[in-house]
Amino acid sequence: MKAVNLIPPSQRQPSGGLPNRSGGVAYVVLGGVACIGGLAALYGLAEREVASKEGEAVKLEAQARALQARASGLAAYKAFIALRQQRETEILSLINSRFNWAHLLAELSADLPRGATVTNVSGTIGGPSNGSGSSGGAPKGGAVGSSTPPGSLPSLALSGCAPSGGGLPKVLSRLRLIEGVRTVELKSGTKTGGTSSTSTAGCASGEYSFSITVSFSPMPTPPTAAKAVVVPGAGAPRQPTALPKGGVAKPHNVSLTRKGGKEGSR
Amino acid sequence: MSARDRLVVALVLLVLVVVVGWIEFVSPERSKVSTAKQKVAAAQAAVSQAQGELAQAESAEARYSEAYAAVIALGKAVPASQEVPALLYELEAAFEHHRVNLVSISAGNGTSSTTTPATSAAREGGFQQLPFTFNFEGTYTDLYHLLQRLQEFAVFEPNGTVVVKGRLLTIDSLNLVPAAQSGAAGKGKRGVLSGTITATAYVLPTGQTLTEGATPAGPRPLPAGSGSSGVSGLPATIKGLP
Repeated sequence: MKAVNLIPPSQRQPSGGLPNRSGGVAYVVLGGVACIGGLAALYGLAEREVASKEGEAVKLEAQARALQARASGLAAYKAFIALRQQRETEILSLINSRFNWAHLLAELSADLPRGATVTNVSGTIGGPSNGSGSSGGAPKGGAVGSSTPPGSLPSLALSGCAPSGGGLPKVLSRLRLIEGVRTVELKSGTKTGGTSSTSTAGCASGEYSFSITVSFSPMPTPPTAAKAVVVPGAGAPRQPTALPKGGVAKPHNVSLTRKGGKEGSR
Repeated sequence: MSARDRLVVALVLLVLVVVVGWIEFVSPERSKVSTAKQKVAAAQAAVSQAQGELAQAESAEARYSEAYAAVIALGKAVPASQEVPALLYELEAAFEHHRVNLVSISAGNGTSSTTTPATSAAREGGFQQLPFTFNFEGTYTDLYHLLQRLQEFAVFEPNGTVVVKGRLLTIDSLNLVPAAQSGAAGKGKRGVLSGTITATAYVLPTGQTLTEGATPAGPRPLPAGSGSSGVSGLPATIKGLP
């Protein structure tokens, strides 16, 4: 038997929809209350977090102030350590910017060929080769006021006698072997003659009286204090600087003498 | 008003309430949270920084005795004043030790005839230079040893140690001739050379004292309000040898 709906179609509730007594507004109101509750909860949580964070910040700031006060009390120690480091750096810079004359003398004696004599040695630390430097006196300025600042050009003026028969070229080529040498320039080379046994230059008859200028590479920039901990020597430029203890050959038996003295150069 | 219209109005009102509630109450509070978090982060950074500064200061305090000894030793190489008598004493001792005869010593670089040493500040803030010239006589080998000795008054050793045995000197020029040529006192002696060395000793900048008021017990307190920069990487041991 087929069921028959006796309710008139205008009075029937729509199937699957909201209850039609309030038209769904009640649900909206309920949703609104829930939303307001959610907002209130969010507000409360945020306010609580603000209070907590601000308290934490105040505590941390007080802690920082206390630590800073303790550090300030010890600031004089820090300043003194800084003074020590500054002095140390400056003195290290000076130590490492020196030209090693002892090393040069040792090398000069080792490299001069047999039979050659040197009658005058004059070494200077000149200014940088920018045209403004002079041969005498080191330029002023540079790191911590060194009298031989980086870029200074050491040079050596030699005069003496070389035996004939290739003695002078040998002197020139041997001088190039000195550590740090850049150029070896022959200023003059005169063969002495005459009847007297020695010439006015002090050379024996038949010998070459020479005047040579040896120029060295510019003084390098000294290492900083931190780098200075590294053992010098490995990979260092061929410029004699700080003298490694015991690292330099002692000079041979060299003497500068007038040729009349018949004293050999080595 | 139909049921549908009432529903729409209610929904609009609901959205409005939610938006206004968010904008007026929740959002400002959330921005306050954000600000408070930033404040905490900044305070934490300040604490970290202060902890670092304190650690540095405590480390400096622990190293004070060593640093004081080092500054005193460095003062032997570069003193606060000219200390000419001590310099002469050291030079004479070195010359005697190496059998080199010190003939004369004069202040300046040999171009002037002044007898009173005069320092010149090479650069503002840098050490002052104290140039002097000395004439001497000796053999080549003795001169080599003498120059080596002068170099080793203050030397930086490969192990990172600065050894200070005397005044730090920079030799600016060197001139050697046979004594017989120069007509000096050693004339006639076989193998004796007459030499001239122009050297520079160094003095601390004007206004600086050796320890800046520090004593073995502790440094001079800093004036209020002055800060100090942190330092690190102190490399070398400094030995002051008698």
